[in-house]
Amino acid sequence: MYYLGIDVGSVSTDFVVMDDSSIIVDQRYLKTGGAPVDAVKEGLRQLAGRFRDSEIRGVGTTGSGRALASAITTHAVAAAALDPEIRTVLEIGGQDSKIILLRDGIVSDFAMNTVCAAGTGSFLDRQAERLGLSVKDLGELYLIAENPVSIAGRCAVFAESDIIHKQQLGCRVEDIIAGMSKALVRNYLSNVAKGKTLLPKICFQGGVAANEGIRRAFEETLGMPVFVPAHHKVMGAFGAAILAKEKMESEAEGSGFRGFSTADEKIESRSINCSDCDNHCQVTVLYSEKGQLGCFSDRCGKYQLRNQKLN
Amino acid sequence: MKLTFPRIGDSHIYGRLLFRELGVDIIIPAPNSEEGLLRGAAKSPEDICLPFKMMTDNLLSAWEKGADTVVMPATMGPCRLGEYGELLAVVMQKYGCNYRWILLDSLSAIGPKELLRRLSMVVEDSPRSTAGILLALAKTYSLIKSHEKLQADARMQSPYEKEKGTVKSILSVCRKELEKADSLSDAMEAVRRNRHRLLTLERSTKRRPLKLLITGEIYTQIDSFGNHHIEDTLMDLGVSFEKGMSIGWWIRNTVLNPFGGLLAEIKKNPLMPHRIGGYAKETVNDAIRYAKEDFDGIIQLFPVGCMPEIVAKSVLDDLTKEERLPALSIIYDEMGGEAGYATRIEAFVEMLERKRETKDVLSGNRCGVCKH
Repeated sequence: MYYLGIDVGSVSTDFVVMDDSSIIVDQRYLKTGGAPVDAVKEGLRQLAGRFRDSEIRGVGTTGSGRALASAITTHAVAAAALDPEIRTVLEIGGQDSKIILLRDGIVSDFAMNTVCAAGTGSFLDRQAERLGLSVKDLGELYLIAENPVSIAGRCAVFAESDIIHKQQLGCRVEDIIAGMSKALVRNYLSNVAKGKTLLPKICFQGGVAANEGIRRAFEETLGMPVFVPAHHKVMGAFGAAILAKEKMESEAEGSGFRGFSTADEKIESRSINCSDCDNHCQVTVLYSEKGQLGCFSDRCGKYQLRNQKLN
Repeated sequence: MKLTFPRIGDSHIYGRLLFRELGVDIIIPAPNSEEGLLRGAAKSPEDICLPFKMMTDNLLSAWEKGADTVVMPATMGPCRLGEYGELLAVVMQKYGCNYRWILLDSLSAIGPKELLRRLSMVVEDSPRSTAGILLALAKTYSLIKSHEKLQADARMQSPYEKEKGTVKSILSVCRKELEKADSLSDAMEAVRRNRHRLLTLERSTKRRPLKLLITGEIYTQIDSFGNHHIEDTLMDLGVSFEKGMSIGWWIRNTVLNPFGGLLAEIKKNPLMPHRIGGYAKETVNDAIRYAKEDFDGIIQLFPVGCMPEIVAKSVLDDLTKEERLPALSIIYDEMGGEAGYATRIEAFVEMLERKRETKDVLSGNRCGVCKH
């Protein structure tokens, strides 16, 4: 039997298929590209060839598509399953960055970026794009930089104008990249991880962990080894799959999995501006050919299907 | 005279009923909304806090509807060095809203004579006698008290409801009835009716919900638009919670007890010995109270750039470490997206639940109800 974990994020949508002994047997990392429903369908389509509906015992979802657990819990559970020794999880995703402190395998404290997305994946993506590089290049360039320039990391807008300014001055691209990576790490540590005690072993996950330069910058700043797990990009989905397994084992409930054929269904969303009360909710309803699948953002819950099972 | 006042939480409900009783014409600003916030932000000074932006829009909308006088508690103290009301007046003037201003500063700031003069301006159009006015004020205060009691009970009761959403719907029904009520007495009756419904609700006693404390800046605590309906979110998550501040609390602390500020100042608090403006000291006082009572966690709310609460937050960070007090700070501004807030709150609740489960297993308290 297998368990499926899906993590719908701002930048990527990740899939993990895990077996009974919590070993990842398959994973998919797809760009969300602003179309989460299509990304989920694409992932299901890719997995449909390898697994049968009847083999999937449970599905857990997290991220924007959560119906099971929030991103903090799933990332923490995944890290703890990977290595019980891990006491600090640094996670930098597309728009969120978080730090999770684990003690004895459970979350003892966490923090997320508050109002600003400076120092997250989308900032790196954008700078890489502007410089005509891929995110992978950023890591390689960091390693060859000799003299990192200083970049203001407090705010993505100011950081960008700083970077442009340094470019105009003729600074080498690798020095700029290194300065930017260091700025991002500095901002993360003083903003997200402020006041937290970071104990080893430190695990660095999320999409940005693919960037070797950032990992190196963390090590240099913290003076401690920082390791990146092999499945660092899909840790959220992995955690969701583990939680789905726990839940299926503790509750004798059947799975609400609609099957891989969902990938070929036509799914449409429609937005309604409800004006029945002062809340003026903008309700989004998802339809397939068979009827309503689910809906979001209605405060009073009257658009929800009765007895609906989302996970 | 057509009176108006900024919205905060249910102030429009209480204000409408009070001035109706007094026979004073009032205009209620349009409900807080995304569009309103955008307009308020565009007309307010840069970098100002969320409450100010909302109030700017409130007063602009009231002016459009024909209001000519603003009555507003200013308290000459906590925020923006006591110039909050004055700054708002300057902004209104700039956009051609030539309001007449009645700023109700605290007794200790302007003295009894000036305060009485300003209060009498509020009721100058009222045909009621002084006794009638005092009676209406007393009735309004008791309405506020009983409505807030209903809400406080609901916050503690909602996790025990048999059918999800019942408690939330009692509150919204009650609010609707209050908005439509013709008189203070009708309103009191509506609250009583809904309170009865709440108390006689079928309960499932097996649940053992988390208990949280909500604290922080006063506007974001009270106004549900300002805090993205955090109370609904918490009720949906099935946790019970208490809230430090409310309109009634403010009346008790500032109007009925003019020395409220002084009392807060002398209250012993090793982490924050002095009031530093706003309600920062109250936030920290709440947190210390938490440490003594059986709360599972604390959520601090404040708008971006709220200096006093930023200081309080760093004190909470220390408390988190020393007292193992789990605290979550949520900062509000113009962002409309709900997902970000929901993620943080859900994660916090999940963390507390998992923590408690482990603690239960370790202490042999597995079942949670009978301590076996």
